[in-house]
Amino acid sequence: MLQGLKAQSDNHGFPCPCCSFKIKATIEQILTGSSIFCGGCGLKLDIDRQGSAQAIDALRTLNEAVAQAESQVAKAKNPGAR
Amino acid sequence: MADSTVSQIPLSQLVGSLVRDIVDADGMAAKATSDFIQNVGFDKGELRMVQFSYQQVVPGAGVKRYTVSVPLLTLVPIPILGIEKAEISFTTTIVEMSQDDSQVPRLHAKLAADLASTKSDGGMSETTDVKFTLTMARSDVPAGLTGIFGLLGNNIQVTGAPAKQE
Repeated sequence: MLQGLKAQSDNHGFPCPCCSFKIKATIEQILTGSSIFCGGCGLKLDIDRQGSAQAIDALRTLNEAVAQAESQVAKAKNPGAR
Repeated sequence: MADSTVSQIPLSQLVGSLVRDIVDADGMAAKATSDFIQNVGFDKGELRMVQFSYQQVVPGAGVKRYTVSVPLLTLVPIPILGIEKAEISFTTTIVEMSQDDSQVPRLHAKLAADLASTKSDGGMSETTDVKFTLTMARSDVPAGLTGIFGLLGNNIQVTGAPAKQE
C-alpha cells in the first residue's frame, strides 16, 4: 500500500491550464518547491509556497507518516537488521 | 461422539461468519480511503488548495502571469484498497440435515478431524486451523470516487495576475 501510494499514478494529476495535458507532480516536488513542467506544452509552473502553506503542511505530515510506516514495515520484514 | 456434538454448527453459520469477516475487512479498507481523503484533502470542510503561478505570452499583451489553484487531492495518489479476491478453504463433514418451519433444509457440519487441533490431554479442541488465502489488491475506482474526481476538476481555478512585461 505504501509503495503504491508513491508509485500509483492512475488517479491523480490536473489538466494543464494551457493545453489540458494531465500534469502529475510528485509529493517531493511540492515539498521542495521545485518547478513543474507540463509534459504536453512545456509550461513551467512555480509553486506558491505562501499561498499553499496549509496544503504543504498536510503533505509533509503525510510524507512523514508514510516514511515512518515504511520504516516499521522494513523492520518487521527484517527484525535482525538495525 | 460428544466431541462431534461440540464442534457441530450449522454450515451456513460457519461459512457466513467467515464471509461476514471478509466484508467487514473490505469495509475497513474503504474507511481507510475515506479517512485519507478527509484528512489530507480537507481542512475544516474546505478543500486544501495548492497554488501555482505561470507565465504565458498573450498576443498583443506581452507576457502575462497567471495563478492556478489546484485541489491537493488532485496531486496526491489516493490509495484505493479493497478485497479483490478471497479464497476460503476448509474441510467439513456433514453430520446432520434437518428442516425447520421454513422447510429449508439446514445442514449441520462438523469440522474435519484432520483439521481439528488436539489438546495436550488428548481431547479435541474447539479451535481449529482454518486455512484461507486472502488476496488484497488495489480496486477499481468506485463510481462515487470518480464523481469526486470530477468535482475536484471543477475546483481548479485560474486567475490572472497583473501583467508583467519581460
